[in-house]
Amino acid sequence: MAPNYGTDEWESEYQAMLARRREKEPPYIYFTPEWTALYEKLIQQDAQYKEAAKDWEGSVVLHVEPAPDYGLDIDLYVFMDLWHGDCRSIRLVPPEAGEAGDFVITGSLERWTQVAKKELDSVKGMMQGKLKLKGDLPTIVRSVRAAQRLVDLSAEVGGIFPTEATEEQREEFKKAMQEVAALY
Amino acid sequence: MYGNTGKVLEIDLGSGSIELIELDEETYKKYVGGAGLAAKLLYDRGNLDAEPLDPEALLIFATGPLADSGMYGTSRLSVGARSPLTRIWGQASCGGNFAPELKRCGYDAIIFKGKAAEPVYLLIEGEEAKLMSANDLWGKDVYEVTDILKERHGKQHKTLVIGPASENGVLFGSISNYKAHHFGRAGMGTVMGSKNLKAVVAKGDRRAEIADPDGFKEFWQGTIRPQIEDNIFCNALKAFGTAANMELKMMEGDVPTKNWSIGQWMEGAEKLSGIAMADTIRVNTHSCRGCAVKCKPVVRVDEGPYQVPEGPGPEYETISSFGTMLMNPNLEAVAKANELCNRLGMDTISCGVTIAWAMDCYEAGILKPEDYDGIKLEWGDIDTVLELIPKIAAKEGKLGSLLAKGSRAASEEIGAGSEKFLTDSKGLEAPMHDPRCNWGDGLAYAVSVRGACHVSNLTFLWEWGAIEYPEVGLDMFFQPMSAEHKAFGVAVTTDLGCICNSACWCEFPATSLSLPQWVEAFNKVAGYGYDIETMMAAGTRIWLLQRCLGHIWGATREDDRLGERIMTPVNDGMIAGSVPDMETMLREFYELRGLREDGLPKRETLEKYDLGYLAERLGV
Repeated sequence: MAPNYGTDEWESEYQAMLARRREKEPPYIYFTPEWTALYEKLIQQDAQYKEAAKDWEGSVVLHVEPAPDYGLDIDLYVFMDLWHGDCRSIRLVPPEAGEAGDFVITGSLERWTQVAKKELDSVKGMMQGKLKLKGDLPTIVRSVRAAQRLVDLSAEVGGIFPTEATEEQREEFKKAMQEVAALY
Repeated sequence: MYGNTGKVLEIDLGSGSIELIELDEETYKKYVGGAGLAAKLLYDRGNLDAEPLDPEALLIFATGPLADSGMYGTSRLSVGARSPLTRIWGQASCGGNFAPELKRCGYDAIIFKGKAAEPVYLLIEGEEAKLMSANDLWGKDVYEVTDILKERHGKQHKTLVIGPASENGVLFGSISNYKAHHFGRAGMGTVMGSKNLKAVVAKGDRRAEIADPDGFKEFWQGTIRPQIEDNIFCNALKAFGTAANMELKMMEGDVPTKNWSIGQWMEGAEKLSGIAMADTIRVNTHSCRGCAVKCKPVVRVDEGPYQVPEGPGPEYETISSFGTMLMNPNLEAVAKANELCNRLGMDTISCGVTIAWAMDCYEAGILKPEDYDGIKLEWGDIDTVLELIPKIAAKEGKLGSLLAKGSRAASEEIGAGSEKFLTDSKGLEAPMHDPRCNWGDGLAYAVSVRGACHVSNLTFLWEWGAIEYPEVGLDMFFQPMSAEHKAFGVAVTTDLGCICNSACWCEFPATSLSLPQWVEAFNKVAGYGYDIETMMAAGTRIWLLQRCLGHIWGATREDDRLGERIMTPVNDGMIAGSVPDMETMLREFYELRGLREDGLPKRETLEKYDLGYLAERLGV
């Protein structure tokens, strides 16, 4: 049985999983724990984000809906703990923790892939209903530049899109998601 | 008849006669209502040889079929006439509360012709309409007259009022509904003033009939209402007004700055945005009748040089026109400029943009202070601008008189290279969205029926990504600074804009709905029997008719262009070096629209949309 999210045990198991998975060299597949770790580091080092988000308080969660055709059998929650320009951590968290985030943006894997590839502007995606926002909209509007920067950085991380993965990569992605689900 | 009453008032201000005209259902289905109906009435009943300010020119107010339905954003009203500013088809629309009231009097539209011997206003109470003396109101500002009329006739009476600028013949005079809502564009107030018509007052006593009351109730309460209230765009407008995304748009290069000569001014945008307003001078929000979006700011400035009593605040277009365009980062001063224009009755876009043009002329040594009342128009000098606004409204002095004509006519008068600073199309100063950022806007401005305009079409919303309608092919991937797909996108969004303006339906709530839902709204309320194809055809028909009125009044292909300054690249920001490829977009658009090389529609195009009568008139 998985330890409870938020406990030291959970964090310890998450880190162990991450260490195992990072033994392999990049490029990583988008939304895997190892890709998420690279994303976290990029945000933490980005001066532009720090400045744009200096007043930001609260967690942002990217919720990726299941897409079994691409090896994603679970609801995936990329939980970003953001505070005054700092990215304190990014974790792939259990659904109840993800849904409890301050701002939850939900979309299909295809939509998130379009966002990462800059084929879909995240603001436009929300206006068109392709991405759904849960949370206080005025707060997001006030920090739209910071939000834009987060999206830009997700593209800068680079990696393999699950929607474009080879059979072998898709199996790898599926396996990664099983490991994530094991911590749910 | 449902949604509509089939009745139109025709007032001859010269003779004082008031007649009732009855229209058939087919006319409504073909021209929707509002701006489409006004154009049809003007074509059928007007003297098309009349100059814009001749007594025989018509001025037509028209409601849409959804006006009394209670749906968010449907209380808008259209006005149409030949524009004194552009000399082609002029239309303006405004929100507020007048349209449902007129409908409740039993009328869909009012046609004014002739000129009253003395100032008058029209009072409609129930079905009864009469002309009243306005001698005591003439010369007074919009806010004063609105208060007087409300006091005189009752708070529930709804008003349309012009200010001194329109009385004085300023070519961009506006008409105001209850102080906060304005028919700003194309000088419709000036036409009203030329007829000695100071105001229209209405109080209705009945409801318009709905075609399918139960079905509509379910549709509205169960589906559409929550959908609009949940729409992210509407919610952003509710939180911060129409300037909600000014900073983001400035970053993208969409906000015209220093008369369109620089690409980015983040410092200004941060101080002028809807967010800044919400944090400083905004004390409340206000809505058009019954609308939950509440995008309109109410502001108050108690201290300092720019005090403004609690009242309507500036919206995005005004903020940019008197802010970024003039390099003025002071939001309180913008609110003051807005209040002055509201009271005096002038379009804030044309006024601010014409002043920005004049600032460029001053900087270039074309407008010399010694020739123009000693006035120095320096960038950022908002105090001089605030002194100049009343002078323009009064056509006072050489500079006030010159700028009261609008930028295009003023430039034609003074020459000396001043045309290179123009930012209009067909004489209408362009609104505050930069076509060098979204190229489709450039085409949309150039082929807009009233001159440079972003609300007679929905192109800007499409290019922003706020709308996507796969039913009409509007779901393709495109780049903002590219000509690819733009002709098609502009054609479709122009039709959608014509439908919106003719339905008198605000684009914000309207675009929260899908196109099948638009169709359902028309059918459930007005019984139009539309499907998407016939609804879109109505949009094309209206655009063609309004464009043809422009041709009748002298517009040619040469006029489908943008002011020289817009076609000049800037050196900074994300739009550095970008200039819309107008030639490609126009060529493709003409082909898609069934236009000839000279810009006139082909006969078969007109006949396809039941506009054969125009073919005869135009000789095509």
